[in-house]
Amino acid sequence: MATPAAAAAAPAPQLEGDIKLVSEDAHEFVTPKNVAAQCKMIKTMLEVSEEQEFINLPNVKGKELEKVIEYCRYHVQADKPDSGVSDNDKKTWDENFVKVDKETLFNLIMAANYLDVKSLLDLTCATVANMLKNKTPEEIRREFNIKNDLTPEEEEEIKRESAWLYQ
Amino acid sequence: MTEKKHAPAGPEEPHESQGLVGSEPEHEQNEPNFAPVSPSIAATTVPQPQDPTLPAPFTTLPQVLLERILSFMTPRDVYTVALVCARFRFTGRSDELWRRFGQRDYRPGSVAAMMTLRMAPTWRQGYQETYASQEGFGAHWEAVLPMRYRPAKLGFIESKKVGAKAEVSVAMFGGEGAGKTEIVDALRQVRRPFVEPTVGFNLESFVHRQYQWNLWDVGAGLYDMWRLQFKGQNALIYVSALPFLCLSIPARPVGLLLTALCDLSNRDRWFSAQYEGVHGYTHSDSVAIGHIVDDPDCPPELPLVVFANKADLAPATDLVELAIRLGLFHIQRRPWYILPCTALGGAAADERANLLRGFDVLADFFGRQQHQAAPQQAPSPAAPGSVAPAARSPSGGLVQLGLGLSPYRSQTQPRAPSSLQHQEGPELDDQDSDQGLGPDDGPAAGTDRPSAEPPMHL
Repeated sequence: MATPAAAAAAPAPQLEGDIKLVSEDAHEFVTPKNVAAQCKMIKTMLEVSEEQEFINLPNVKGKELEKVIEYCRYHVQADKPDSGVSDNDKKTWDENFVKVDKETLFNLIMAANYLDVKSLLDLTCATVANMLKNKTPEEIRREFNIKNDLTPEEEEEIKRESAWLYQ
Repeated sequence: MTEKKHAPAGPEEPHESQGLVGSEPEHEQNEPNFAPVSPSIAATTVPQPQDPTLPAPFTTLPQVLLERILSFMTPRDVYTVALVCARFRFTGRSDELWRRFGQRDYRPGSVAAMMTLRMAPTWRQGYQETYASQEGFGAHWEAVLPMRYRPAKLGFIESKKVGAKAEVSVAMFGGEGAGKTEIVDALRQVRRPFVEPTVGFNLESFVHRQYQWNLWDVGAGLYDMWRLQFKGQNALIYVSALPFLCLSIPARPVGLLLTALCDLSNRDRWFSAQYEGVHGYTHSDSVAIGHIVDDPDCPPELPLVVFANKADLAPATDLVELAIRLGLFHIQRRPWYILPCTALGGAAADERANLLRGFDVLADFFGRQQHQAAPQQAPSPAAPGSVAPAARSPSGGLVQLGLGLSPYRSQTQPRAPSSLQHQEGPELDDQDSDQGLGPDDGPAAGTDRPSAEPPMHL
């Protein structure tokens, strides 16, 4: 147990204290640095200069930034080896976490992409993929308000191309 | 079958509704769109033209992210989604997307699935071929092999002739960055600006002497899969595709070990580190010569050529020491041969001539197999210490240390040129006159390439 503790202690001094994250619409969130560092993009910025007191995030709105921080905070706690949170609990939490309206979900995808939180990006993308599954194209168009701009020839071509899947 | 039937019904529905049955209701439903509608009605009606008042989340989503979303689906779902709009169709055809599908869905251990995927012009086609002919990846792998990829049977030398040339397959193994792909490129006289780590494998062929050489350049990451094939039930089929093994090893450690090269006092550590790296018992992705050579499923009569690559970076390499470190002297039956080379840098023609010497040895070996009916007895088991000093050339870039090859050399040396002349066209003769004279000409040929000539110490 001595070596992991020592290894954990080594990078820790850099990530002590809090950092203020400022969203596009000027919401400020004071978060511990180790939580914020879950976002690789913020981590890189923290590594570049240690003294800065706040980070401007011009591409993220306050609502999404709050969600991202919530996600990071939970996973910093839950991913500790001695946290006692089972994988099933984490999965349930994740599922509840993405039960939001579509607009928020899509903004979360872009925020996760911008802040470079891979696990959140995978989670949100998989959620959208699940929304598209087992639906007819017409249902998808209706649900996501998409205009059908395919020509009949193109539709025929797609059906011809996909024939091998249904033999 | 039920879900297969069910799914295609989906894509066809909207098409029909546009054409015949649904055309009238659609017109009716389009009108309320101009007036504000309650969400419940909007969900049931069909807003065929995009409604600016409602959120359209996908329009703002970057292409990369849309592709990422689709990569979480199955190919069948992707084809359904492609019917939604032109952008989805475009994204669903992305090669990057299908590369992910292919790598996600192929079952480790199925070389055939990997081969089909790799050989197809696009990942989508590869996926389709593999899927359609295999009822999914991994099953009935032999049936899916197109004729041209089918491995040759052992003993093909006597039976199989394609055109005038007999085909010979060589598998190249080697640690990551050892230079396998570079050696193949040098042999084919191809230069590429940079070499990426090989994913899966490459199959390249060239003609030399009376043989067409098919080189299976196996990426270092794929080695575990090949080992499965050695062990698995397809082992004999697959191993028979490898009439002999050809190992490519850097005569210099790559990566962090480079610094040790400058320090002669660390020579022992350098070699042992390299030995560990090459044998890689701890790293699953590096190639273990010992695994291949000692594998009971790997036919022991397959000869082994070791290319000690990057010789220019370590000119003082003692090949005998290297051979000891690689454990070559512990090999009992397999004939082997070691050759320093420089696949990158230097004059390409010189390098090719040098590399071809390794293949000359093999060609001579097979030439002798044709003449003598009993190839298995050719490599005579001998005590390593007794044979090695006699077999080694005292100087020059070419050092032969072979246990099995040394007795054969004296027997077949007079015979090799004659068999060569009556079997191949005259256009190859001048090529062969450079290197085709066999290992005895080592010192003379070595003067052609002074750069790769390591001073030998024993």
